[in-house]
Amino acid sequence: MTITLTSLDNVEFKVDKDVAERSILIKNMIDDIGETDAPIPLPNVSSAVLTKVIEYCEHHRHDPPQVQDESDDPRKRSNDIEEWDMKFMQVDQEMLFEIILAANYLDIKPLLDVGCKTVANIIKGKTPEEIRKVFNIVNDFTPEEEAQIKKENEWAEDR
Amino acid sequence: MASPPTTKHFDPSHSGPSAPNLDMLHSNDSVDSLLDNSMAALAVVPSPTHHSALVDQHYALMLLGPRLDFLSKLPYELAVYILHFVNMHDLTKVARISRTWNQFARDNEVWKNVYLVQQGWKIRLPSVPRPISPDPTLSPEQQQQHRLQVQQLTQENQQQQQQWLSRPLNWKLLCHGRKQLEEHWTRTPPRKTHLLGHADSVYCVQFDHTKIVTGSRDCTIKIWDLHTLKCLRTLTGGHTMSVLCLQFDDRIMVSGSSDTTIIVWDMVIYKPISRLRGHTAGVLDVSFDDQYIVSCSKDASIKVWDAKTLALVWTMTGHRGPVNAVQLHRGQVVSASGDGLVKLWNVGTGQWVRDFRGHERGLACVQFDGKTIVSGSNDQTIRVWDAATATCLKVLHGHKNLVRTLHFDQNLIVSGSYDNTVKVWDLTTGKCTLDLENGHSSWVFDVQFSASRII
Repeated sequence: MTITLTSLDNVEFKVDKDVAERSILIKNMIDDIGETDAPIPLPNVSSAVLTKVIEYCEHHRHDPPQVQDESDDPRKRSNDIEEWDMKFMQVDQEMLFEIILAANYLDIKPLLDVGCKTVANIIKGKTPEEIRKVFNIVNDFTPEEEAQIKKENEWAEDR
Repeated sequence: MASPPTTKHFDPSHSGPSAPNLDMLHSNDSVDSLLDNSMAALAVVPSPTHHSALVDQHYALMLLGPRLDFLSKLPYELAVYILHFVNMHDLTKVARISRTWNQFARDNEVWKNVYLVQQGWKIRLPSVPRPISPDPTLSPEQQQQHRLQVQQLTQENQQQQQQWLSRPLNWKLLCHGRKQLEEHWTRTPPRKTHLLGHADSVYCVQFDHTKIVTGSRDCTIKIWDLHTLKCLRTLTGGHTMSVLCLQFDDRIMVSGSSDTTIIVWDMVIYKPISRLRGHTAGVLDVSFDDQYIVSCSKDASIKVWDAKTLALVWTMTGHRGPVNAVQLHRGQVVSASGDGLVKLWNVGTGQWVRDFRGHERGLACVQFDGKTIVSGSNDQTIRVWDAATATCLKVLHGHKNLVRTLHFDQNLIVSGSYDNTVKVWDLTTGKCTLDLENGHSSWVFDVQFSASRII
């Protein structure tokens, strides 16, 4: 069974049902409307991003299905990404940003997690200056404010 | 097809706006799924060094590409979700990036997650005690009175719990407090307080978040307020000889005595429910859960009682000396005896499982968390064992006399000895991190700790 997805820029993608259903949004749509040949429009996702998302879903098509459970493990770690996923995520910031938004919209929790972990890994172990540099952020604190915040949080730093 | 995804990304057919060639993907379907299966089976997680090399590579790559204020541009929930994967130390950096990032780093959910991922940081939500049925030997009027008392107390508890849960927790503040406590364990000399009241030696102690319960040679059990340290109640008329051991939860307390009996108390109204007879010598230790009560005795036996009917289920024999300590954990019992052995038993079948050999003298105490067993002995050492293989993982030297009592959690062991000291050990390294030498003028019989206290 093949599903047709239409991207924001009107490109049609034909994918196997089990691949498309890695997206809970799409899975729910198919469950609701029944199997159909009509293309499913995804007006929030560009073809470039959808290509990446489908690549991810193809690779993970045999993973155990997501558990639709709110009470998931609260313990989150970012150092458990599979090698394939890490390399898959080595994209520029715009693409990474779009993948996170698309994974959130399409409700593909594992992809969302991998995307968020990738960003977290970039932040980890860096100095504030290094973080500002990579995300092109202007420091809008006065030196006094920054000193104050540093002092407030001192207890939580590793010593 | 076989090229790694890194290079795929730079392939214009993938990042460009033109329609991708999906037929190609389909034609390779079978190969794809084969590859996927092997990948899934291996679950390849890169080694830590390889992992950080990949991250460094990505960081360098990002500096060359388009850069955007990532978190500020994402919807708030997603920005905050990313910080769920960042640890406490890195959050302090995030707070200093900019005003917007500072807001994210203050989010309560983020701090809740920080708290929950810390190993050994637990939070205890107050629970409502389940009412228990009164002793059938009481008269109908007494039984009715008992029910009313229990009902009233249960309602009060429920109200308290409601209030407690409706109050939002400041997780950042909790983290701060918890971090300080953690540092106290290795740096600060503890503040010491004494409880005075028993007419004779105190043999056993247990505390929870509101009270301390002690059992003494003076035949009584005393309940103390943990915060004011005042004695709230003295339970008399139970045991006729020394109270040697006790354990309690919100519903019941089980105490064992030199008088060879075990008493089950109602912890809501502090009255005895039943007395268990069977041992032929002093009851040296007790341990219970929802299903069973396990007791051990100077008579070298271990007895298993049904926690509901209070009937004797098994008598487990095998030790060749008094059984000084016993602990029940999810269907398994560990026991430590004067014969120098730790034994593991299956509580469901009453069968012996295995022995742990190594101590050179008799054993005084043991604790078990399902995976690890820690035992203390008259050979002045503490041994750490792997429960599944019976291998001795560590031998801790330091006490100068019999190790009478110990308590451990994931990170720490606290031990008390007849050398009059209490010592704190790091479970992973086996090093002694804190030595409380001047607390007691005589033998230390029992010890328990939580993050903030050792008693």
